[in-house]
Amino acid sequence: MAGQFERMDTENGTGGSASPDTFGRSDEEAEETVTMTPRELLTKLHTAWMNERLAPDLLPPQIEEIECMLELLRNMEVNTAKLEKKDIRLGVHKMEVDRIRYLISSYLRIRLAKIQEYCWDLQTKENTRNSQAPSLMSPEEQKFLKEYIENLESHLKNMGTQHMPRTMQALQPQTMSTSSNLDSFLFLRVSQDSSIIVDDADGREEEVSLEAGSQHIIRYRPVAKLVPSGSVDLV
Amino acid sequence: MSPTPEELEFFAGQEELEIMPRFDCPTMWLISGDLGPFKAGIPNKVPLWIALHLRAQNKCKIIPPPWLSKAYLEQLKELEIKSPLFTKMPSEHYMAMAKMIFEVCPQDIPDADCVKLLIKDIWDSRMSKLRTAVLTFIDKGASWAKVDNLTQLEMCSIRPFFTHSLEQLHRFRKTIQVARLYSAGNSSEEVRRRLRM
Repeated sequence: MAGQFERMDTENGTGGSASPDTFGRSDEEAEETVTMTPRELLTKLHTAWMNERLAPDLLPPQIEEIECMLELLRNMEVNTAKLEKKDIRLGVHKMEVDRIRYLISSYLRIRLAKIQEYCWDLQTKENTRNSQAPSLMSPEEQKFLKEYIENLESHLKNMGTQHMPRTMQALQPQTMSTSSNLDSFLFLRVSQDSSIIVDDADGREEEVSLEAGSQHIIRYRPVAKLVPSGSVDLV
Repeated sequence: MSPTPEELEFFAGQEELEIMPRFDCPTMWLISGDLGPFKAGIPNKVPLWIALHLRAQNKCKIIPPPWLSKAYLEQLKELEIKSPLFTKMPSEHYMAMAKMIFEVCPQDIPDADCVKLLIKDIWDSRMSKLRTAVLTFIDKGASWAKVDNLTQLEMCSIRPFFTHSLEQLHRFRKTIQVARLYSAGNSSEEVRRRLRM
C-alpha cells in the first residue's frame, strides 16, 4: 500500500490515476508553456494571490496554473486515500491539500469581489476589447460578470426605477460605475531590473531605476504594466 | 486591500526550519517538495506549518532557527538601534514566525521570555523608525521612496492609513494643478494631455 503511494510521479505530478483526456491536456499545457515543478507552480500561485490582493485593478487570470494545480490536488487526494488512517503522512498530506485549496479559493474570491465592484467598467472594457487581445477574465468569470450585471439591473429596476415617473426610469450605468483607482500607492519588490518613468501630480517626470531585490513604495500607474509580466511583485 | 495578519501567517508557514522528529517515516512527496526520510532523533528541514502540526501532536521537537536566540537578537537589536536605515531581518516573516512558534511551543525556545522581549524591542524600534520615515516622505512631497529591508508585516501595519493619505495628497496636488492650468486659459484637452488624465 505504502509502496504504491511512494511511486507517485513527483516530476510533473500527474500520477497514474488521471483519466486519459485530462492527462493528455495537462501534458499539452506543459509543453506549450515552460515545464514547472509543482513547487514552482505553488510559488507562482502564492505570488499571484499577493499581486491580486494588492493591485487596485483586475490582473490577467492564472487559469492554466489553477487548472494544473487542481489536477495535482485531485491526484494527491486519490493517492492519500490509499494511506492507512494512522499513517503520519496522511495528516500532513491532507493539510497541504487544504492549504492549497484555501489559497486557490481565496484567490478566486478576491477576483470575484473586484469583478462585482468594477462590474460596469469591466463590461465596457470587455466590450471594447480587441478580439485578438486576451480577456482579463476567465470564461467563468465573464459569465459571472454578465449574470451579476443582469441581476443587479433587474433588482434596481424592480425595487426602484419602475416606481419612478416614466421619464426617469432609465438606468445609467456610466453614472454609477466605479473604476479602479490606478493612482493608489503600493509597496513592491523588484525581481528583474527595470526602469520606469514616474510623473508626479504637477506633471513633472522622473526616471526611476528599479534594481532587482529592492523594495519601493510608489504609485500603481507607472508600474501597472510590470506586475503581470512578473518584473515586480507586490508586497 | 491589505492582507490580514492571519493571511500573512499563512505565508509565513512556508518558511523552513529544522525539527527533531520523534518518529520514523519514509520520504513524503508533497506538492511543495519532497520531505524526509525522517528518522527519530535526526534533525530534518520542514516548512513551519508542518513543524507546528507535528509539534501539536507531540511528534517532534522544534529546533528554533538560529536567529530566534537571545545572543543573535541582542546583536540585532544593537544594530537596529545604531543604524539610521532599516537593517536586514533574518527572515521576511520574523514576527509572524516567532508568534506562531511561541503559540505552540514556547518551551522549545531557550530563554523564551527574553527572546520575546527582544523581538518586541526590535519591532518597536523599527516601527518608530518607520513613523519618522513616513513623516519625512510626506513632508518632502515625494512621489516614490525606497523601502528596502522592510518586512511584510511592517508594511501591512502602516499600509491602510499611509497609502490612503498618499492618495489623498496626490489628489489634492492634482486638483491644484488642474485649477492652475485652467486659469492659465488652457482647453480641457490640453489639461488632460499635460496631466495624463
